Amino acid sequence: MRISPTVYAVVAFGLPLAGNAAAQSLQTVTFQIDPINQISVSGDPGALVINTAVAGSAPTPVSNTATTWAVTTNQTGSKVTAAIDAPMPAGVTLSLSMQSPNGATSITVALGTVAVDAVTGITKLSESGKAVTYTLSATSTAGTVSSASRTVTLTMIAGS
Amino acid sequence: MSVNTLFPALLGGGARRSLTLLRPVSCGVAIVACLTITAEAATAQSSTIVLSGDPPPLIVGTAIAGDQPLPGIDGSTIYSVTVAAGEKITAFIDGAMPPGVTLEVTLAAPQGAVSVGPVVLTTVPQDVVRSIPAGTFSGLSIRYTLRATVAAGVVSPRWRVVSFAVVAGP
Repeated sequence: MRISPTVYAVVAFGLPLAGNAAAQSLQTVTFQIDPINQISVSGDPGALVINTAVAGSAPTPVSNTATTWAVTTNQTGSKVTAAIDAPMPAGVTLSLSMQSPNGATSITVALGTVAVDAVTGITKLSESGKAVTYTLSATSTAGTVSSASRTVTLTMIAGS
Repeated sequence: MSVNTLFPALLGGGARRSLTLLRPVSCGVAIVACLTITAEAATAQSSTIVLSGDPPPLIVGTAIAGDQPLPGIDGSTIYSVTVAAGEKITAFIDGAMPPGVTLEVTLAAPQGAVSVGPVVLTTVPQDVVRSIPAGTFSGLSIRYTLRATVAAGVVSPRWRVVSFAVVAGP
């Protein structure tokens, strides 16, 4: 029987040179952006005092524009509501008007203990220094009212 | 005929290599010898970078009224690096960030090196540490900062893979 010669199988391959390979390492960074709705006011307005009238007319209303408000939201259609902590005396009305930020709508409201919309349609913005106007009005039948205070609560309601 | 004579090209200079002839395997009319070539690389030191793990989730979730959202920050991870010569570290992410959202990274520099950070990460590798002298350095901080504008809106949880590489260059 003829014996076949030994055959060597040669597998060609290459070897990378050591010492110059770039080392690499990985990190997985997880992140998220949550809904954000923030509102602030600059402080309390000065006292509102009705003490004059044009003869033959109701007492002259008084206004205060000393305070401002600021807002940040990353949502669409957020709004601000307003309410006071106790009813006004009979014949006396406290009104609020908040300067609207860009693209939003301002509503002049007579404040009561039930929250009402004061600014609507606030969408993805951050603005500050917006005017807050309080107006106190009284009818003659309100008579004299001794000094009193009310706490106004402004609430930002999240949009979508 | 020795295998060293048969395969001189595989035993050239540079890296140390050796040939080991295994047992021949019968295959019908031919006998095929299986060769195992064991290559031992040169003992020059390789550059490496090792990270301590993944950071916790970065969250942007609040703001000062009137200002853009406050950033989410993490500095809990560290890295170690071994370099054979003056090299640098680059970094990139595996996908673009959502609109209005940026991810920054700052790596503390080894002694004698320069930290470029904070670097806003993109899909293109950028230098984060330069001019690293030869040696091994460990316990170096990694600081991530997630920023978002109000225009970014709400972004559900997601991730990006950050790749750090030690490469040649100043």
